[in-house]
Amino acid sequence: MNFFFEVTLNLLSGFGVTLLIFAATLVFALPLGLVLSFGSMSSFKPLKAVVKVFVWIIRGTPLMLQILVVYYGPALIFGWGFLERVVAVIVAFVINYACYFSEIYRGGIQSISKGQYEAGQVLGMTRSQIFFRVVLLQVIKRIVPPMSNEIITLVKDTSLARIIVVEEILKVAYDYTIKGTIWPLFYTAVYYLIFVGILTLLFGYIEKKLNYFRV
Amino acid sequence: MKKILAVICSLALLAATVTMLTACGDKTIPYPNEDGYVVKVGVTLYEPMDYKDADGKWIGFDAELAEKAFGELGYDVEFVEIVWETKVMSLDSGEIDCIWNGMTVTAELQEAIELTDPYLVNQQVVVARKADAEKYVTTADIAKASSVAFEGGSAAQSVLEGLSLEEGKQVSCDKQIDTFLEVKTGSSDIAVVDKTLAQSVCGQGDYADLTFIDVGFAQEEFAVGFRKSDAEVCGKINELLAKYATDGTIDALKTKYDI
Repeated sequence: MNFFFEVTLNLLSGFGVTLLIFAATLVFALPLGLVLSFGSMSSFKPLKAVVKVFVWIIRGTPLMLQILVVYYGPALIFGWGFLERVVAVIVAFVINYACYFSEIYRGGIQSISKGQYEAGQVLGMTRSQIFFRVVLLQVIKRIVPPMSNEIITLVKDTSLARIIVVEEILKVAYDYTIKGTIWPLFYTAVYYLIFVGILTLLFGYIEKKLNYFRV
Repeated sequence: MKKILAVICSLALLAATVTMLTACGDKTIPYPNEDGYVVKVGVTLYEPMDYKDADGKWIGFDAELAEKAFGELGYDVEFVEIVWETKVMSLDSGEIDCIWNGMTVTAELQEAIELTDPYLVNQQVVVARKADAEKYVTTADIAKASSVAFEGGSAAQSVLEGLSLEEGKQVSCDKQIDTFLEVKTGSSDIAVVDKTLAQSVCGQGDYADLTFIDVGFAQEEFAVGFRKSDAEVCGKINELLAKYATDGTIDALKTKYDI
């Protein structure tokens, strides 16, 4: 029983690292994704092309590889030092998830009919007024389901951090198998399930809150 | 104004996207150590060579030997946990200064990094469930198993290649420790791993029903790895290892860690 308690606590501290990666990725990737989505819709062709290529590279390579590049790249290529391991993981996750988010945003923004922009112009609103006062809230409502999908994937992708020895929950559990105890590895599922359960409820609540907003 | 901003943004993004291929970075361990340089020793959790005690301090045969040897040369030691598959990258990038973790000498490693002389003898052994143990006596018996687990890229893989097993029987795992789970659950009949690891894992905890058998694989050797640019320090460590072999240091550690 005592050992069970010890494992639970150790896994919990590992899950703290998991949550840190998760939260930091959201904080930075959500706005960065919006910037990228504007870039990919820009009427200035070179910018649009560069953003599209960037998104193609990031979405087209494995996240695990990107983590390795962010962590080892600066030292191997330029002879610089290292980021903190967990910082390197967060940088890689932010870039990766911003690209996925940007495509979801783009889909949401482009789904708003042109008529609404025209109506705004007729009323004498500026472009930024139209975007923030008319378009944005409708976009948010439409992208909640695909975003919740992506965010739940993010919870589980944090386990990739193990590739550069970040002490997230799966790494902690794995270290127990070396000492001859296998069950903590499967016990980690409880942590993921509880957290994703909370997120699912949260997204359900948000969807319901936005329900009044019919177009 | 907007266009100029857009151009700047484009260029910045382009620069971020372009990948560069030239590698430089001359990382070396300063010798003699005048500025209190701390040597970063790359390890993995690998009982009894390198592992952590209850307080999280690194101990083990290799950990103690590394601390003693570098201490005599005037260096403090910091242990850095690495991922074994990418150990050469960790070394080249300067994340660590040497690999001291029960590393079996292979031709590929000799090519890639600077190795000391061998300081310990190792051997590959077969891990099996106790009930099946008597089925495996010689290397020829390995062909009888329905599947064999081993660590991809490890010394075990090289010795198995010599047996020309059927492709479908080979289960290449990520880590040596995964192979114990394969055998324990019955997913694979046997595993081939380092004897040092098998000694410490078999019979412990959930692996109580596993045992290992010496089927007569050729002996192998453990060595310490450095960057090619650190040949001088490597040579100094070599001299110390030779000394430890004769003055009983290595024998004492072998007894202490049951090797």
